[in-house]
Amino acid sequence: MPTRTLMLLKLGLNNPRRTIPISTMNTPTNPSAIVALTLAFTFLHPTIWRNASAQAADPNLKALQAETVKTYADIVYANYQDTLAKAQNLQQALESFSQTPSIETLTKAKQSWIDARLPYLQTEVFRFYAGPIDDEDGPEGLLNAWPMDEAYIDYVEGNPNAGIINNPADFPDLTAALIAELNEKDGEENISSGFHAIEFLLWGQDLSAEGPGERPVTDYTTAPNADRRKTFLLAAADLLIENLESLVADWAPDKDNYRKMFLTADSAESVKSILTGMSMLSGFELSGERLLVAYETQAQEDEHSCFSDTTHNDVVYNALGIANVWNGSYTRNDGSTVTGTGIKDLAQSLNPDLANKLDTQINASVLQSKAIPVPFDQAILGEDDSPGRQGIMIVVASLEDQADLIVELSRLMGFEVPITEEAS
Amino acid sequence: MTLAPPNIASLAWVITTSLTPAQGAPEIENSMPSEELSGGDTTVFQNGRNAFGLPIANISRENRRAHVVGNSFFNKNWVLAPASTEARDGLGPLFHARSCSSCHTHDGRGRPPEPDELMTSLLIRLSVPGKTSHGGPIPDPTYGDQLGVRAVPGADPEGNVEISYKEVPGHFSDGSPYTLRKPILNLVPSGAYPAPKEDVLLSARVAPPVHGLGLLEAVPEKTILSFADPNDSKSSDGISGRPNWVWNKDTQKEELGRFGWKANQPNLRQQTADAFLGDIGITSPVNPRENFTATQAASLDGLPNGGTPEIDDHLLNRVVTYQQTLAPPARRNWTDPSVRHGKQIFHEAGCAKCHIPEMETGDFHPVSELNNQTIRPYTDLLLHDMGEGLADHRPDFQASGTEWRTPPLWGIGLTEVVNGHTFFLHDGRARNLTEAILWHGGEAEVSREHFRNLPKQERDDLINFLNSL
Repeated sequence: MPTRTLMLLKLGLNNPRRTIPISTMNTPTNPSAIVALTLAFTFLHPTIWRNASAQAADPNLKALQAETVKTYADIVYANYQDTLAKAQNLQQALESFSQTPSIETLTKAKQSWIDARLPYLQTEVFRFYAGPIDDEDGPEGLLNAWPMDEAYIDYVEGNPNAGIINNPADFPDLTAALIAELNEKDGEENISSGFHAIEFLLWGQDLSAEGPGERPVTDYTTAPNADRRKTFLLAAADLLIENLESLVADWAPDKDNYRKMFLTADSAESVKSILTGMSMLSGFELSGERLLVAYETQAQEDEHSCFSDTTHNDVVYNALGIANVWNGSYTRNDGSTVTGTGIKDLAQSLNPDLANKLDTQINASVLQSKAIPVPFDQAILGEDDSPGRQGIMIVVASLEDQADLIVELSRLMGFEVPITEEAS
Repeated sequence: MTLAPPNIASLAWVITTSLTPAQGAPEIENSMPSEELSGGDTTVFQNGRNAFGLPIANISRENRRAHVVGNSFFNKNWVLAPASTEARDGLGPLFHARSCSSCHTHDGRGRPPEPDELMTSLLIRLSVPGKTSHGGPIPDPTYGDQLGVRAVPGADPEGNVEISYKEVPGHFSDGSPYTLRKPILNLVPSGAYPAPKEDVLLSARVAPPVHGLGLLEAVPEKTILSFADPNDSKSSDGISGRPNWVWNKDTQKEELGRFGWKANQPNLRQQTADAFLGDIGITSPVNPRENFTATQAASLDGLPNGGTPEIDDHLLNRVVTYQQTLAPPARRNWTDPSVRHGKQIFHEAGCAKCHIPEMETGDFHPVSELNNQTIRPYTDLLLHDMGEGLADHRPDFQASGTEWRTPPLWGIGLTEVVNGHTFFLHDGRARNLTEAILWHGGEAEVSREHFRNLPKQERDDLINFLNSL
């Protein structure tokens, strides 16, 4: 066992979290043997101690934690700023498109949407610990909710009059405020906002096996309610910008905001939040919700970005987001980097073997994600030994291993992060 | 989650009691080794908002995958058909909520609606007097067996039930007063729907928590039947305990009921499929027809659906596995002196005669992690006459209008943390555990009186014990 761990272990001899093996020993036994076993168990069991106080007592570790938390906050801020900048480009492209609807302006708008997703997907590792993105009034549901109630927004095949857009009687004014409100109607989400709503309004339903959705430009010129469709599209973009701006503000330096709280809190608690985002995105959201579910249903459109057929990006850039936090390094839109102390450095100081294993796994997940054949909605089809399905399961297994290793790392720090069930 | 303070004492207690079994302290206090492990090896240790949402601790990777996939279909909204997400469309036409988790929030307990709120995690069962050929309740010819309070565009909701409360005053033997509230249901039809028939039977039911259900499914039938004493001939203690025998749609046979407030469901698969249909309007291999009556077919039959069936067998089973693998949480503060005293009172008052503390699971469950576990659910899964006060007068298979199934108590102390409220009993009328105990009547009257006669400190001890579960 590495020195650091032993030291933490000794200092952390308190607060047994669970006592299963001891108390199940209810057969008559030599009492002193029980005491000895109990104490041995207390020392050896990886989850039995809590060492927040131990870490507080180690100034080097504490300093390293504080640096890690600071780097993380810098990355989060830069990543949300980049997302906002790309979303503003998208908003401009949508305005150009709505002023002059043409194949050219539509294509440009679509490309802007794809571009804006790339930084956003990397921010998803900042979810799952009730931070600004997904605390009780966090905008996650407004930004990225899925699946889409597309018939709640606009027409779908077989239902030409469906949706808010085609219902001027009940919804005369389409505004960002209305969209936000409708998203929360009935106490549950009717998914009418965010990236996937804009995606649907640009691409339309994906009704073909070969490519993405093929919404005609005429939906924005001569089709019924074309002007209302434009209004909805622009209002959805306004709402997107509004929510991203709030996230940037939450993480901006030198303000009285969440970032300040995150940096001044017990650094062990902030590290726990960081690891929770990593474990949940690895073991639950990406490997489970986005990959396994689509793999199992083999429903062509049970994929995250089904209208645009860009689900492969969702996988790669989610995995990259985890690697950013691990490495303490994020490459910005302009190619510059934000670099500092990563979780990797913290892990190295605690247990180099575990750190190396995690490093290999996290890098492998990114590489393997890139190897899933495109488009994703075809990769899930066919027999289990098809390259697409095999490729997906390799990534799933790698992410699961990664999540288990992150949990192991968290135990070394005196807590245990979850890998299933959403925290919000 | 905050870190618990150092607790050498609990370790010391384990050692002490291991060394001195049945010495000194009353036997009852130390009679259950590992009693904090509510679900044996499956037990999880999480006291926060996700306390009911974690997979069993001993889950295999294969079942964890099934759990995660099931979780997706339990949590995510079902959407209007037709939609691109074909695996998730088909909501309605009538529905109560858009997802399982809308009502079983954080896999926990529902609550009655606020005065001006449309009900979500409470539903209304409807029937007319009599029994179907399978022995179940006869659905109302217009409304069916559940009130549809929401509907997709193009359809009308059936109506709403307004719930008002009548205050029922009482007092403990020590003179301190309390007030219970008894709900009064008033069905208000919407739009084109007619007033309900005079003899319609209504029953309000909150969504029960769903953790630990797999372990209850894994208890052998003979164990549950061994708790039964239908004529009170075994113990002559005023407590009967009757099994409900209900219709299994898959096997087309009568089987032991285990789940639901009246134990009217034989297994989690049928419970889940019926909830998909009644609550979300999702058809399945168990229930291939949409949830409207012949009377409603004229207006609802033509609306788009999400396929036939809307959830296939594979995904239905995933949602079932998800629930089967939701773990019960470990007890907290179980060595606290007040809690230990409360436990003693729980036994002395006779609560444990129906809320049976401990039993073994069998070796037959397909989720093998659930097998051969010593579990502490605090239920016998049997029906008991709970008296006029709690009666809904709506029979359900062999359950009479005054009978209810003993609900499990594991995790009950985490209700407030997980769900932000402490509304208990089938219709959420009890505003806290004390009121829930005070509503016990019928077979539980002696236990309730025992509680009512206790001094305040001992009542608090009992509540502390319940909160430790």
